[in-house]
Amino acid sequence: MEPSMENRNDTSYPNEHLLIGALKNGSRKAFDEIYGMYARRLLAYCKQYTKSWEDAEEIVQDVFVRLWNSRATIRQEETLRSLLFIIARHYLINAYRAKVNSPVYEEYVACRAELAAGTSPCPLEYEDFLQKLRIALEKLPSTQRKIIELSRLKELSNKEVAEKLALSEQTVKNQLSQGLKSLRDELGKITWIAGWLLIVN
Amino acid sequence: MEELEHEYRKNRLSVHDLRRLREQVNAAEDEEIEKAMREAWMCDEIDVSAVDAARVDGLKRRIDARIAEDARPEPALYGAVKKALRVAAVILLPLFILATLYLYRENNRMSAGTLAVTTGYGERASVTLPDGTSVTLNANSELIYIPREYNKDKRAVRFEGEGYFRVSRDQERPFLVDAEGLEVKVTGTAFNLNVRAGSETAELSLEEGGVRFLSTRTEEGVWLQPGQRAVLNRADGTITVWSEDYIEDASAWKQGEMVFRNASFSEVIGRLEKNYGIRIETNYEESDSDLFTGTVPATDINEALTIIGKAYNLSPLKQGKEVRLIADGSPGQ
Repeated sequence: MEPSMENRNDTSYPNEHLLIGALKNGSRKAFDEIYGMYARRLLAYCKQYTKSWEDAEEIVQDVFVRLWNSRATIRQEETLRSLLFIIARHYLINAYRAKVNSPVYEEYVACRAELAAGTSPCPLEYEDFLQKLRIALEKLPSTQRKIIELSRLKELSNKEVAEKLALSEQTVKNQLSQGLKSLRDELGKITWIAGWLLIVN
Repeated sequence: MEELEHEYRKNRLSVHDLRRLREQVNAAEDEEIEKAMREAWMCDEIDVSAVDAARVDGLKRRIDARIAEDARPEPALYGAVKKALRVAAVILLPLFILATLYLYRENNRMSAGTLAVTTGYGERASVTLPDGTSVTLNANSELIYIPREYNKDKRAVRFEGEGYFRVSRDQERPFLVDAEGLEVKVTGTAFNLNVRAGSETAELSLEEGGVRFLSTRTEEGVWLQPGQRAVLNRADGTITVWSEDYIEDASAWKQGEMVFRNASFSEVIGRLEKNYGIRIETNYEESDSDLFTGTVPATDINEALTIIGKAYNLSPLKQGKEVRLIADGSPGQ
């Protein structure tokens, strides 16, 4: 399968009509062929919204499973490209909304921008970032980790965190600032701008 | 909004622009967002260079596996049922007629509403938990949880044996598996967990999502990526992580199969014995270069023995739970 075929600007292949018809009739072979034609494009496309391969793969998986499960009711007038979008759209929209609102994603953007400004040639992948973050968080003492998770990931106020963990607000503030400092040290070369790591209110 | 979205997709946003985009997206209806997305999907040149063949193939295997799973007529037990009903999970096996199970333990129902699902030899069962998580249990396994507490701030279950877990995504409530010597924590994922009593090791094979695997003895924890298998050494509590090309082999039992890749004769015999609860005696002389790659049924012992027999030129003789594999052409046939 030549890579160039994935990016044709015409939106349908010549034998699509037959392929869709075969799929409607339950042809697993047609399904496999459709996968071969569109999986890469769909994966790459979904990743642009989900930022992580894992989430992109999950969406693509859901799309193709649904495509197979609903094969009998497919509208033959649609092109494959359009069909796949129709199935994928709600998963995508939800993923997009979630990511755009995610505090962790915002940190990633800050981090990436900072790296891009510097001399680092290698752009940071979202999944790598998440993993480094997780590992760094793991290394913290459990109270500090819990406080950071509640304060930054769940966006609770210091007061709410204090209540939840049965600690004094001052303790929370101290532990938060200590924890964030350790996190920053742990993450090493990656420096942070304005994000959560610098602001302790 | 189109421009910001374009920059978002290309990872060229600044934090400031991200916040602007967020405002716009939150204020927009789905239809509006869909329009821009559709345009990009239908007409843009999409860079697929980062999508490698391994990813595409692995994903296809998982899709095929899921389609096969969905098509299977195994009934599920819904854990939210609190009435005193007798529910039977029916597992069809080629040689056995019907195996019916009791899935409620009378005495457990009395104590704090604990629910236990148990399977015996040669049986499998499917459970759907209140949040939609599905657990398929292999033979000789047990899943225990408390329906009333299950979906509160965490989703906790106790498990022994082997099972395939498809955990519903819920960032707020981690899914926790408590088993002997280990703890597994996930948010949304699919994995195979093998933690059998009396076995030297416990293993978790991660297909999708993220999982934290903790050894309760050493307090050592690892975060796994899809395609990785964590093996816990029961003797000293240490964890080893392997990367597998064919991570779905571990859960092939769901399709009633055992997959072998470059397996030694001892490994083949060992797995057959464990799976079928039989003892195998043989006069076969094992050699290092004789590696077996193939698929063998996990629920049809005669077929399995026939296949292995053919592969190694052995004749199987079965007497109840004792099996002898005799090399062709040797005395005693």
